[in-house]
Amino acid sequence: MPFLFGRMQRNSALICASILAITSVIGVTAQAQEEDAQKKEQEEKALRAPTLPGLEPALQAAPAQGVAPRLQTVPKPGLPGVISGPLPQLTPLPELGPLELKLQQTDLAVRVIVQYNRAAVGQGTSRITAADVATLKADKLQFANDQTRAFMTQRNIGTFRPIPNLPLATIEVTRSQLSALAESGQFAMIVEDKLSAPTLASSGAVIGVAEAHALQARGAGTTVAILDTGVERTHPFFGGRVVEGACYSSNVAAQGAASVCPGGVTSATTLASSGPCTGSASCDHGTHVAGIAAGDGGAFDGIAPLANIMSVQVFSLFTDAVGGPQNCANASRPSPCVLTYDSDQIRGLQRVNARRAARNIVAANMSLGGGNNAGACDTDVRKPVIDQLLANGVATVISSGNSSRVNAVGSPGCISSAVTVGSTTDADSVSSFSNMSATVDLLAPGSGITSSVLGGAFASKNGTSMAAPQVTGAIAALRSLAPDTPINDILATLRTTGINVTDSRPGGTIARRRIDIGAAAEALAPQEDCIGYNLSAVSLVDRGATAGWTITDGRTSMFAFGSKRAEGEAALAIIRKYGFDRTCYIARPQPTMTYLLAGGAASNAAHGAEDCISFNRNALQLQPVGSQWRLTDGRSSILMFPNNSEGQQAIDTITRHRFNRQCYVGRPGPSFTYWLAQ
Amino acid sequence: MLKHLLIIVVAAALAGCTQPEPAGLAADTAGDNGVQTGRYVLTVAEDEAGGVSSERMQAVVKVLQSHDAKSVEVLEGLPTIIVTATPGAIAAAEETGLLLAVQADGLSAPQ
Repeated sequence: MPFLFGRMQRNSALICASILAITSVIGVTAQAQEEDAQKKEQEEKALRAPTLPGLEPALQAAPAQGVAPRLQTVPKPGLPGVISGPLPQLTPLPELGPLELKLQQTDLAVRVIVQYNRAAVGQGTSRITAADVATLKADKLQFANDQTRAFMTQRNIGTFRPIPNLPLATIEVTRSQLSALAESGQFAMIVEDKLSAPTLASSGAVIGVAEAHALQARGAGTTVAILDTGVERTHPFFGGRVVEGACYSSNVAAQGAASVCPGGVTSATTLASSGPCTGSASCDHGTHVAGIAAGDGGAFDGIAPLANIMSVQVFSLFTDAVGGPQNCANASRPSPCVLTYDSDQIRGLQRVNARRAARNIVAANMSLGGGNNAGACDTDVRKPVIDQLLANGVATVISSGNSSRVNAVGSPGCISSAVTVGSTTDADSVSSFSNMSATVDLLAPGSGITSSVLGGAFASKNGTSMAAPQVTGAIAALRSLAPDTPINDILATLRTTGINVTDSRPGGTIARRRIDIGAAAEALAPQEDCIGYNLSAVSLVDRGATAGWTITDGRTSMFAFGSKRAEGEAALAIIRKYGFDRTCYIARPQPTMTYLLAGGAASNAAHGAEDCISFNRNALQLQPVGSQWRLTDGRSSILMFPNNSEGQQAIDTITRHRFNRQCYVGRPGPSFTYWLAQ
Repeated sequence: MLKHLLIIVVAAALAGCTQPEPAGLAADTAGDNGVQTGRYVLTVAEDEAGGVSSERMQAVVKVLQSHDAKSVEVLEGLPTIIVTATPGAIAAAEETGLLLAVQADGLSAPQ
């Protein structure tokens, strides 16, 4: 049932994405003009803002705020469900061609999106001009919805679903019903409700996520810390992998700041304390960011879908008051809003450092900031803790900011020891909103990124906030692939393997690498010593007195069983069952560990009567036993090695492939062993 | 001492520093004696050996406490002190010469 619910939510997100895409395409010109106006207004506001000039407006170029970005044709920050601006002129009804063509090819109903014309909502007499959202009245909209519902009922069209507070609705229609809709005189637009692929999946294709995952760079055994507005840990995208939490928030009455930690406390270190804040539309921000870094879904994944998550809630809820502090207004956000103090960020990072070893935390993500800094800001008070984390192998990944600057980034992204990330589009150009400067370390997709939001749902957001967690996830993925690789080498690999993107915006000169996780994974992947074979040709043959019963693919003799034919048959069944197509070794020609892979990856244990011993791969250690080294999980002995180096290779291999059981054919004295994961 | 703080702020402005404006200063609360207090984050400078000794930290803490700081929190393992105090107390701490950085507890937004 939870799975089904997740699917439903996902479908719902796709429908929304379709609507947003339609309004986006139609409204390009109007939006561009309004964005220019917004930018000017924001610049003027920044000049006169007395306390927080650095905090850039979230709306410009659709930053990661509650409302899905492509619908933001409004001149001021919109609240979800609040009608606050004009929708653009829409395609006139005569252009129904593609939809009619599609309906001619099917007898099935097709879902369409309709938009009321002005006459339908009492805004005049025009039946071809789209309703104006800015002047739309709720009662008129209700009237239009009622009229339409009656019209639909009359014609047995039963799937009319108005979209709250907008002059839009979805309707499922057949060929004959489409013409009735067109003749109703209610609509300025009827278009197919198209499906859009989740954009995280498309951005994942750009940066080589599938290639990295195929190499087992998926974040297993690592943890990413998300310093943000809290994470909805029950979201199906996380699969119970939010394992650690903390909350740091402030009560400063004079600033209108109230803690959002449970009970209003200013610090807590329980998992329960790290849930999403309440009181602001931005409280889904942390859940979205965490999903990009480490989401694991049926239709699409985050960058490191096997990584665990530490949620550190660092924001406070601010309320502007007449004659009092105007922190939200100064940040161009509707009050109440969430903002975070430097000190709460430091406390959060300090907590990450404290839990680093216990959770194998490899990166701390901070999709937050303010101000514009042309150069490095290394006197920033957050630098010592960021330096401390880096020295301990934890990268602090920070968004560059959404001010569209070509020569400045926000703070703390300006700290030189942080990994500062700007945003690109899927077409590999710098996003219009992204800050860039020499301080930017890497680029990653941040335009139109679909990820998890509150209520188990998914939504698309834009912003450098969405770019940073792609790098955070990449670090976790690469660390899981190469656990012994120092963090600086992982970062250097990301800096050298990606695609070079030059900022081509007016005044832009900076070029940085857009990450390519697949290429980075390839560069870091340990070179395994494997022999591949043709699985479809594998058989058991009798090689006579010299080798006896042997499994071969016709070219290579793979496993010899002597006279134990039954064991050879059992092994052959196992190879076919799991699709093993290569045998890998540690320390040939006298291998101390042999394991089988299918398509380069370990196989998960399947149901069946197999002779396996499970072990705790998280507790593996090498113990000296005389001149040898014993690999053990503390409970049982797993393998013996002649030296520590080979034992360490075995641990790395087991960790990388997530093996947690060793299986046998023919115990005692097994003639065939293999390893499985779970 | 307030004069010193003012000089620092003006010098920073003249140098074209682009740090976020210290939000803490703008949101000060009135202290017991009517002087406004704000929350600041201080970074204590390393000594010649490249570390920050507890003596250096304590020296700064003492100065802050002697100027009636409302709260002083030393972050374990870091050269960092979070303090709620008057600008005068902060200026006195700066005069010790032990500080690398003084920053009003600024604000950041989701991006």
